[in-house]
Amino acid sequence: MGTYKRALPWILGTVAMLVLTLFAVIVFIKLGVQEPYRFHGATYDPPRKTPELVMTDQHGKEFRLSDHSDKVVLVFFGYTFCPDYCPATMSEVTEILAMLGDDAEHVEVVFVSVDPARDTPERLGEFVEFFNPDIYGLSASEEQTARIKADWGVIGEAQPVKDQGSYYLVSHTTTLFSVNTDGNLGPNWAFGTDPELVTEDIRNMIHN
Amino acid sequence: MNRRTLGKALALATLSVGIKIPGAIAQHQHGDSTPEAHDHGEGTPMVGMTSGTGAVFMTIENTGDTPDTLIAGSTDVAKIVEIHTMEMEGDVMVMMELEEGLEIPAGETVELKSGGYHVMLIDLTRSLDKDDEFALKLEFKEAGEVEINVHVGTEPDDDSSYEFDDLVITGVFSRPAPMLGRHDGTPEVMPEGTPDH
Repeated sequence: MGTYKRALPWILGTVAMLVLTLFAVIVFIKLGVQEPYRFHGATYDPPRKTPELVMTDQHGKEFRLSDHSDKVVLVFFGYTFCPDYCPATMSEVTEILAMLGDDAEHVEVVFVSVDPARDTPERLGEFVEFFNPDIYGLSASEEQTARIKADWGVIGEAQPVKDQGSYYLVSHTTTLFSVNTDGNLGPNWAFGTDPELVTEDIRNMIHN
Repeated sequence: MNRRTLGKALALATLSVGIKIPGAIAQHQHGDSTPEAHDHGEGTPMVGMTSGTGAVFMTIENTGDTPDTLIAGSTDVAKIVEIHTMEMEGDVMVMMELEEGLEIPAGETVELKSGGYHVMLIDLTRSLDKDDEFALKLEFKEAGEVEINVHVGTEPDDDSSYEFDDLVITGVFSRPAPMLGRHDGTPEVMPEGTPDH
């Protein structure tokens, strides 16, 4: 009995030390380990250098993607005859820019036409500016457009003309791409991704 | 470049159907660029030279025990209305007209939504701005022609609800879409009779 009584303070002390140490270790770990931001969009691993893009904007001026390397650039491939995904994405981009608030000044938006046969610069301008006056509507010759599509891994194919020879639709990739300020492609987002998640990703690109 | 110009000129020439450009829109003069409407009647646009497209979405429930089919539509905001479907092949969207119409099986609900079925508006007569509204007539094989009101916005209008015979139509909306005023303003493509550059 006597032995225990003498040992008790030591036992208590040791337990207390252990608890304190454990506590300290947990706190240290939590503070020390910074979880890196995980993008909601799909990222390239290894990182992929941004392909150059040289096209004509809606004002007839040359647009060179590398001139905008200090901004986060959102790139979408579509065409103006498109009734669903293209206007939908442009509407969403408008929402995203609004949610970004002041951060929006670090973002450019580019709509690349995969239908140069119909999409003249003026037509593209009318289309994109309906959604937001700052969106660039870009077009290029058929050959240049083909090269650009290849560079970005994008599909944009005219479907057969409807039997009455009236119109044709274009099948195209509906992913929204982004270009980071470090010369590499940023994450891309499938059509339908929650605009709030896209906004979060973009904010992260701007501030990191 | 030459072949492309020729191709475009041929396309314009052979498709002598024109689009009636509302007076207010024909501000951009391209010489004699207001083509006459083709006498086969309204609705056949030149190859894609339309003033833009839009889409109308809704949910259609068939509460009866016979199937019905949505076969056509018409509206003042577009020259042509067609029923379309869209399918994703990977991350590529492929769209096609449902020439037989869209069947609404008995006792079932069919959703017309983004990335799927939609009523396509071709050759808009005006821009569809947010909070705009327009009337749309739908033609069903059984229920006949019905008229609904479409609200322009980015989400289905939960207040919209229509009943026609056994069909219940809800969540009707159309996304904002621009009317594109110019009809191919590129200098290389001139209407017949104008000198080459």
